[in-house]
Amino acid sequence: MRARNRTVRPARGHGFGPLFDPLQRPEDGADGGLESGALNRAAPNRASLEQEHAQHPPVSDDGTKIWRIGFVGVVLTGPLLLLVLRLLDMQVMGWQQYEPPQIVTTGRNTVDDTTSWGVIVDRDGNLLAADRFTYRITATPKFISQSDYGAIALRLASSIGAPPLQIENLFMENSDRDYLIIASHIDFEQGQQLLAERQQRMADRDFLLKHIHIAAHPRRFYPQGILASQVLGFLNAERVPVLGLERYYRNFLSSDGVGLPPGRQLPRSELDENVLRFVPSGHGKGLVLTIDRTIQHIIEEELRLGIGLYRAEAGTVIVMDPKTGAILGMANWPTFDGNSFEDGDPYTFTNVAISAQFEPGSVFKLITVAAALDIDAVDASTVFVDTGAISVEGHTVQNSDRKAVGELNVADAMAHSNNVITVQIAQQVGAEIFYDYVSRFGFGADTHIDLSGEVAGQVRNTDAPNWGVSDLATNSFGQGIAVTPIQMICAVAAIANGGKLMRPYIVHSRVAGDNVMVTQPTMVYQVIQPETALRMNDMMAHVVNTGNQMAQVSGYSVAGKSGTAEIATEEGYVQDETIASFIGYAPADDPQFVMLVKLDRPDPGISRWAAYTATPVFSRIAHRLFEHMNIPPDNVRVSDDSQSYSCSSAVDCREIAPEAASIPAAEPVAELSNR
Amino acid sequence: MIRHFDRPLFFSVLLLCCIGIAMTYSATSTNVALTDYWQRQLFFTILGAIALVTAALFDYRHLELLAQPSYFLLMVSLVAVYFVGEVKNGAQRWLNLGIDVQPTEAGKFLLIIFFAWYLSRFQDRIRRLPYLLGAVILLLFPLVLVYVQPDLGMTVTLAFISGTLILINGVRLTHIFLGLAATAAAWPLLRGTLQDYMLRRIEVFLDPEANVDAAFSVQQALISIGNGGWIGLGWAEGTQNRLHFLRVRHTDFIFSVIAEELGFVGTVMVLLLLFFVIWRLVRIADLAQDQFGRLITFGVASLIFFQTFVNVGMNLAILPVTGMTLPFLSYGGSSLVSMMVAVGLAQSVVMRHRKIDFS
Repeated sequence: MRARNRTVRPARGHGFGPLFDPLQRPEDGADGGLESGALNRAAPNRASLEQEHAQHPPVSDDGTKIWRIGFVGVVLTGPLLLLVLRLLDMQVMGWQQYEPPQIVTTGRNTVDDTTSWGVIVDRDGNLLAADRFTYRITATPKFISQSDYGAIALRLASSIGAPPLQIENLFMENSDRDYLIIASHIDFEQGQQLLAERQQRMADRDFLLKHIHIAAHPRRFYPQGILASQVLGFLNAERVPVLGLERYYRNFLSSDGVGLPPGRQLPRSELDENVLRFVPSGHGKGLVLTIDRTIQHIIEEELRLGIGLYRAEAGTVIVMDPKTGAILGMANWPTFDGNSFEDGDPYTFTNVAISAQFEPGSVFKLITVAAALDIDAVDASTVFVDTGAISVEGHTVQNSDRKAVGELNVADAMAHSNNVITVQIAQQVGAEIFYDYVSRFGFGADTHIDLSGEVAGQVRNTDAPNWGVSDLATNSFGQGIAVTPIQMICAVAAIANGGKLMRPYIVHSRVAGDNVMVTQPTMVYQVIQPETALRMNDMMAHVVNTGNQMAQVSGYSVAGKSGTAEIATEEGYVQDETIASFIGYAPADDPQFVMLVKLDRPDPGISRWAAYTATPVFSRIAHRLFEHMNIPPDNVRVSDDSQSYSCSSAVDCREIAPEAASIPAAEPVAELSNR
Repeated sequence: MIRHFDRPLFFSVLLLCCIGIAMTYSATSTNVALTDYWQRQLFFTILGAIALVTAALFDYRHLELLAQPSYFLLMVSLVAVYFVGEVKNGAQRWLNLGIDVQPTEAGKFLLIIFFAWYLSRFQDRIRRLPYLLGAVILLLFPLVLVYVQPDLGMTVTLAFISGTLILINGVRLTHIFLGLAATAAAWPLLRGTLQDYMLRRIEVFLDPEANVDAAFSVQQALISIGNGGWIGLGWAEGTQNRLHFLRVRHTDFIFSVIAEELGFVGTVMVLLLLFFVIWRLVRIADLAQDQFGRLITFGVASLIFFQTFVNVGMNLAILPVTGMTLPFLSYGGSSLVSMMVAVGLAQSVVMRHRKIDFS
């Protein structure tokens, strides 16, 4: 009974508020002792139950009543108010956000809208990829009587363009099958005619073609054939995007995919009308590329010619706008035709410009020297002594011609592409700083170009497990390091662009219905100081004037550097098998384009050196680009102030222009590529 | 006795049920497989109304005798589910007794009865820690078993109802803080046991963009609700509903159907009706002549309140998705009938609130 008597204990003041005060008044305590007895009884009768509960009434006085009303009011109306306000917001205030999707109605014989794929046009609106509808003719031979085969075959032959006998045989061989494809892609007009005839016959109760089915299917069409095919990628037979832009933008291009990403959008009318010739409005989507069809054509043609001329196995050319990172052209050979990818060699599908790594060779000396200049370790006029060989941890580095030149300043060492001095420069920079610059220039990481299949290359820095001091030496002139062509051109473009590394991109704008999103150029990094970039610029112009003269274009100043790298195989470097490359930009004082030319395994019987293979190809392409891009020769441009050429900075215009003109006359120097 | 029968409560519940039938018709008539669902719901409503009246006539005080057996039954069925339960959709929640039954559906009411008895029996002593701990421990057993099924929504529901009852019954402030501190201390442990699907739902709620597929249902619900506007598209005219954009529209998302077809005005009416029912129940709790009756009624009120708030909150995307039905409105026989029985118990309480009737 002790516990029961506790019922009396008043608990006011430290309970959970007087909400529903469960305690009895002290005066009720006398009867309270019975309250919990119900369960102890085997079968309490109703009367005793009533009595017991009656003895234990809830308490309510005015004070608790106010509390109670307030509490219930808050607890109940609070959430109710929250729900109602939310409803009001959604249903009345902001209901436009929640509008239902449009219902797509498709009429008879129309093609399922969800399978169509956006168009791709070049910067001037020339169509590069679009869906085209063709008809597929199928049949159910099982339901066709053998006597009709001849008549049907005769009718179909004219549409398909195959001999009637062949079609009849096809029926004969598959006479018990449910489904037979007679022709996969017949022309739109032919298909329409056939369809109309079938409907007419059915209406006339002539059931000859009843079990012949004619249906339109979209088929990806690349009007320019092989032009930029590796950039575009393709849709395979199941309309799954493979590689390139088709793959990278698959979610955008598919009609049931995503729309434009959040960000600043412009109305469609902001783009040139010409550009939008082939881009559908309404629900259609399209990509406008930075690629210029003409530039693409020029580089593909010259690359093919160059490969033929120097009997190289393969090659790559990239043209880029150094100020924005926009890709103006990107070509590889061998390539394929997206319209007949089935016949192509799968090895040619990959876009080597972004998906294959190579050892850059002497071109990479630019990075070494840029790092050295940027930290003021050396100056263009700093003199080093070339003894013909330098030994680093037991590895001996020699010049490509195995000769010793003696004293040379840095600028001339670049022009002669001197390995020994480059190693000395790298040693002055130090390994940590050198690899810091290598990674800041973007090597060893994706450039994040908007194309599918990019690889990162390989840089073994000081943290790598078996890195040694000799690696610094070989890396300094571009051996023992793997880069992609796009990384290499981006790094040089950064030098041309006052030290600003831009993210490369290939889609100028995305069009979705009536909205346009224009890609904004993105700076990744200020890699080197603008002043260093100017000094590099002078040096690279000097290289072209005194070393790589074959890169010159009459009337224009060109800056660049060649590189010849031996190809590493499992047996080590193979003599006479090289990758020859040249990277340069022009005009040197106000770069309008930067270009990479890379030839794989030029015939050593002609030349294994980049200076005699990739470099002249560069010159030929540059010559045509000047014409196409309407860039006036230096003397016209520099003298004519009214020509408004955008300089990347005021410094560029003021300081480089006179210097580029005052570069000393070229003196003949023997080709001195590395190794 | 009969004159104390709460007619406003009874008729508003019936009205809600009728709206539920109409909305079930609207939501299912376009689906060939479900065309008879509104008839079934009508049948369940009639069944429920009979059950309600029967429960009202039954003297709730006899339930005290059933309190311990009901707890025992709950525990047995939960343990049985743990060992021999049917696994559906990755959760072990069902018992196969000819038809699959989910013990936790009835468990809500069993737990209300048990806690109403326990708390009213030890009403005064609950202010002492051992008795409070006893309540918490008795609650933890079923909670853990439901949690491991796994069924987070039901666990939270049971915890909410029991917690409400304990608070209503009176607890010392210091004990509340003690409980909060214990929960906070156990949080890292609990977090580790959260099932993937629970985390995913919470993730979807916090960041709908990240998981397009899972956010689809909620997105469609939002579109439906927004589509309604001031006065709605009219009964059986909702495009989201009729064109099947809305998923599970006759159960979990029936609120969106209501919002789309009846608009803001109609939806607020329905919400007010639901809260009117809750308020009537609270009123009954206030009138109840004993603590047991009061706690039972409060348990029912808090259950309806919780389910309403969570379901509507989910439809309005202010709470994560849980498979909780909207009381009286969502399609489903067992949940409707058991809700009606619960309201019947509350009626039973109010009908006997005057001791004068028996003296």
